Amino acid sequence: MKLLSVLLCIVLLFSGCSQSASTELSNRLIIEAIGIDTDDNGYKVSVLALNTMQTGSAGSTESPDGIAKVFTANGNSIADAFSQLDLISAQIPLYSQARVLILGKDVAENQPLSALNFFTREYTTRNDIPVAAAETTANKILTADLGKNLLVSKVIDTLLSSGKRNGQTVRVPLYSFVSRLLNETDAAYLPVLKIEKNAQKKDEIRAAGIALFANDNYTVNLNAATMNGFLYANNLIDSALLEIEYQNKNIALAVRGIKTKTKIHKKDPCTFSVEISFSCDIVEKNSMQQALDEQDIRQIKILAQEKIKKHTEDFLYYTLHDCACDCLGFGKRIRNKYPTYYEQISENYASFLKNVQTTVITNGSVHRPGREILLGK
Amino acid sequence: MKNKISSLQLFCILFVCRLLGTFTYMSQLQTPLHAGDRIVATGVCLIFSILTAIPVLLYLQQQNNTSFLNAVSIVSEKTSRIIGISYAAFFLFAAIITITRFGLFASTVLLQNTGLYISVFFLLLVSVYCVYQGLQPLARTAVIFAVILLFSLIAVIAGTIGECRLINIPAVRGNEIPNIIRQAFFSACRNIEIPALLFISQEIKKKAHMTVVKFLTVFSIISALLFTVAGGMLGEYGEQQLFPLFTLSSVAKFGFIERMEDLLTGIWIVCAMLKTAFLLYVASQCLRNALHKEITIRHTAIGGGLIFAGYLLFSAAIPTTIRLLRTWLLPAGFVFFAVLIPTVLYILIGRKEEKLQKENNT
Repeated sequence: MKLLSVLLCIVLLFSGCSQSASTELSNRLIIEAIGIDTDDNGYKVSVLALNTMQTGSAGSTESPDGIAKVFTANGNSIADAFSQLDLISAQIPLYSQARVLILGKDVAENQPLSALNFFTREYTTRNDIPVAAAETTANKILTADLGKNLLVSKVIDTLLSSGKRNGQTVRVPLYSFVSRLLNETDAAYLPVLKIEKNAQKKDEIRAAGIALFANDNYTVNLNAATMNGFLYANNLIDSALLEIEYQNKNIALAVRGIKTKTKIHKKDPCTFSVEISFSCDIVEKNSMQQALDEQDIRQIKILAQEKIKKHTEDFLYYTLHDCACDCLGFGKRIRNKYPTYYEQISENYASFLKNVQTTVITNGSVHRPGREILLGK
Repeated sequence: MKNKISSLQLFCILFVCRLLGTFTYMSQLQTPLHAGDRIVATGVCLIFSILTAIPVLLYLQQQNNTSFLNAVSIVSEKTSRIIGISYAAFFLFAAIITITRFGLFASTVLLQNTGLYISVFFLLLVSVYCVYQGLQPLARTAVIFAVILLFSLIAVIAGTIGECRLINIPAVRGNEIPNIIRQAFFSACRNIEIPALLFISQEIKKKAHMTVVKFLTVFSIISALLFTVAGGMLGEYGEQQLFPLFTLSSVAKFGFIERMEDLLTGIWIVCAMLKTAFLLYVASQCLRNALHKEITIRHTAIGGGLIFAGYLLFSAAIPTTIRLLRTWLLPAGFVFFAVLIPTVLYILIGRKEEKLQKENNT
C-alpha cells in the first residue's frame, strides 16, 4: 500500500514535466520591450522579443546580430493587437520579462491612461515596468540599429536607471505614472527618448527631456534647464555634476547626497517651501595656477546653492505659472492638511496653481575640496 | 498533555490562517476606501474583533480541560448534539469560502494558466492528511510557516518602504466614517478561527485568552503597516487593484530578489492548506464531541469532499459568489456562531452549574 502511494505521488508530481503539460522555451515569445503607437484603426503594438527560435518567422524584422526580433501587430485594442502578435510570432507571449514600455508620441499626447489599462489590469505584466515616451514613434525606438550585441531594451533600461546619477533622465515605474494620472491634482511625468545617428552612422538612444501630463493630457516637455530643477525638487537625483563660474574660471562640482523636503506653510495665499540640502566635491577647476583657500570654498558653496536655487525656482515658475502643472504634490499636501480648503480649490486647480507662492531654500556644503592643496589664511 | 499545543503554536496557527485573509483581501468586496480610511478601518477592526471575541475569551479564561460541547451537555445532551453539528457545518462552510476566495485569488494572480480544480483537489488531499495527523503536527507546520511568512512580510515592507510617500495617503474625511465602520466590521467577522478555539481549548496547554488578544493586536498592527506602505507607495494605483497587497509584494525589491510575489506564492498555498486543515480539524472535533464517535480518516475525507464540492459550486458562479461575499449573510452568520450562541450557552452553562452546585450542597 505504501509503495503504491509513493508511486502515485511520483506519477502525479512529475507528470507536469510531460511534453503536453509544459511549454518549451522556443515556444515562448520572451518580450524584452513593448512599444505602443496608434494607427488609423486603433493601436499598433511593437514588441522586441528574444530570438528563441532558430529560424525567423514571417512578419519579423531580425536585428543584425540576431539576439532579438521586433514583431509588430495592429488591433482595435492593445489586447487585440497582442492576440494578433500571438499569431504572427507563432509563440506564446511572456510579458513579465519586459524591461520597458514605450509610448509613442501619439499615445502619450492623447489620454495615455486608456492605453495603459491593459497593463494595469493584466496580471501577467509587471506593475513596476519602467514607462517612457518616444519623441516620435515607439516602433522607431525599438527598431533602432545599435550595432552588434546591443539589445535596445537593455540600453534603455540602463539609460533610465542612470538618471539618478547623471540627472539626464528619470525612471518612472508603471504604478507611479498611473497613480499620478489618476490623481486629480498631480502632474504625471515620463522620460522622453529619441534616436540620433552617431559618427559611425549607427543609431543611439538618448534622453530628450521629461514630458509632463496634467489630467491625463500631455502638457509640456521640460527642457534641460528646467529638468534639473525638476529632478532636484522631486528628490529624483542622487548625484549630479554642477558647473559654476568663479573668478572667471569654470569649476565642476560633483553634487551628492541631495535631499529635498517640501512643506506647506499656510493657505490663502498658499505658501510652500522647498528645502534642498546637498554636499559637493570640487572635482575640477580649469586652472592650476592658484590654489583655493577657505574663503574660496565658502564662495563656491554659496554659488552652488544659488545655482541649484535658480534651477529650482525657474522650474517651479515655469510649471506652476506657465503650464499649471503640480509636479511636487502640492494638491495632496493641501488635501491632507486643509481638507475643506482643498474642496474649494480642487474644482479650479489650474488657476489656483498660478497663485501658489513658493520659497526655495538650499543648504549646501563643500564636502571634499579635492586632492589639491588647500591654502590657509 | 504531550499532544497539547503551546500558546506560541496557537498564535502561529491564528497568524498564518488570518494573514492569508489579509493577502486575499479584495477592496471591491466592500465600498472602496482610500488608503487613509483603510488604515483607520484596521484600528476600528481591532476593537470589533475584541468585542466579538469576548464570549470566547471568557470561556477560554475559565476553561478547565473540558471541551465546549461537553460543557454544553450539562445543559442538555440534545442541545450539545445540535450545537456540535451546526458548528461543524459552519466551519465546513467557512472552509469552502476560504478555498473559494483563495481560488479566486490564485486564478487571478498566481496560476492563471493552471487547472485550478486539480490544484485545489491536491490542496484538500494534503489538508485531509494533516487532519488525520492531528493538531500537534499542524501547529508545528504553522510555526515554521509563520516564521517564513513573518520574514517575507519584513522583506516586502523593507523592499517598499523606501518608495513609500505618506502624502499619497489621504486624510480621513467625515463622510467616510460609515464605510470605515462597515469595512472594519466585515473584516472583524473574518476572524473565523476565534470561535473555533471553543472546540479545541482542551488541546491547548495554557489558558489561551491572552494569546488571542495578543494575536489580534499583532495582526492589526501588521495589517495597518501593510496598508500604510501599500497606500504610500501605490497611491491611487493601489486603490484600483483587486488585490492591493499582492500588488505591493509584486513591486517590492529586497536586495537581489526582484520577484517577491513568486517566492510568496508557495507560502500562500501552504497557508491556504493550513487554514483549510485547521477548519476541517475543528469541524471533525465538533462532530466527534457531538456524536461521541471516533472520527476516522474516511470521515475527514468526506469533509474534504464536501469542501471540494462546495468550491466547485461557488467557483462555477464567481459573480454570484462575490455578491454573496458582499452581503451581510457571512457577518450575520459569524455574529450568530461567534457571539450569540456562545453568549447564550455561556449563561446557560453558568446557571446550570450553579443549580447543580446548589443541589449538591443541599
